[in-house]
Amino acid sequence: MISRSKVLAALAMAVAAMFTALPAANATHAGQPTVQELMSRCAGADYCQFKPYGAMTIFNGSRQLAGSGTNCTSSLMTRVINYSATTGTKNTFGVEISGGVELGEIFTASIKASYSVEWSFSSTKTDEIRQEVAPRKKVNIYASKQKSRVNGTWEIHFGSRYYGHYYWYVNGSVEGQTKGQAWDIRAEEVKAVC
Amino acid sequence: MKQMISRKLAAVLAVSGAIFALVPAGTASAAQRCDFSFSTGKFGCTGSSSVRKSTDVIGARIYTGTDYTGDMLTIWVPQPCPKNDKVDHFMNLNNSSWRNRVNSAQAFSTCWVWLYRKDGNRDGPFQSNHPDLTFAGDRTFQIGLS
Repeated sequence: MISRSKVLAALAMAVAAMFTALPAANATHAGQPTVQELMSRCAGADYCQFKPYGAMTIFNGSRQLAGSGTNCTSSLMTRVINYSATTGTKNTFGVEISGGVELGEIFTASIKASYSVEWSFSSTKTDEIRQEVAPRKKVNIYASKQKSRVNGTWEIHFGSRYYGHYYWYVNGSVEGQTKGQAWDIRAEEVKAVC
Repeated sequence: MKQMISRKLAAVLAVSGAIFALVPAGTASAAQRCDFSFSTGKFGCTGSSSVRKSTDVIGARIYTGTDYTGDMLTIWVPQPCPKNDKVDHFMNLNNSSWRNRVNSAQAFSTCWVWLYRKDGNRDGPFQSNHPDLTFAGDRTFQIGLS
């Protein structure tokens, strides 16, 4: 006959084991899922929500060459320079979080509820500029986007144990832009290779 | 015998109910990330692993600033809130930086967050993300999780 205390201990342990959690699941050793494995199951889990923490950080993205115009003549000329630049969204969770996937929809809803702004997974700036180009010079058009970074925790509940646990938390960050953030366009003159 | 075991099991489960705890006074300077566990009764600002049991889940996060800024306190509970029409966990904010400054909060793991005032009234329940609780957070001396 199994003693009552053993039964009680087993029951208590079972109750505790039903609701375990590991924060910041970044373990990759055997017996633990990778962050990517965990996140890839988030949208199909019983519960999958993004909870931001800290202020949304605003910063200037790296500049990219968006267009150029060259004047190989010996006189000053006015050039119409077409330029185009695109920025996207990246994250530390190892999965795609974009407008076309459910994780992206969950993320944007959370950002709207939390910070009252609309997340934009990509932004493209296309335009033309009329620029005077000196003889044997080249004008490069550089574009940089004002960007946003959000830190947060994905909370995931599974209906059955996943790697021994029902509840998982994954910490990380997402970098992209919110709607209305500005582009900075600058022209720089350099020596042309004619 | 079956009845006795179920009584004892109920007693085991009830241990996690209506836990009352105190956050240490005068803790947390600007923009700290701190943790408190109802399982261990420990409080710390150097990472959750030294505070919580490995089986704990997050019950809530509260912040001194709006939009989840300022000092962050992660409250760990032994299990998800059981939704038993009771407030299962009470935490007195004592003289910590969160007292009268719970200006945003997030509920985790089926828990709902209640903000208690000194006069006995409470605001809530708050579920999921709440970036601005200034209407109630400036009078909050105790947190409840249900």
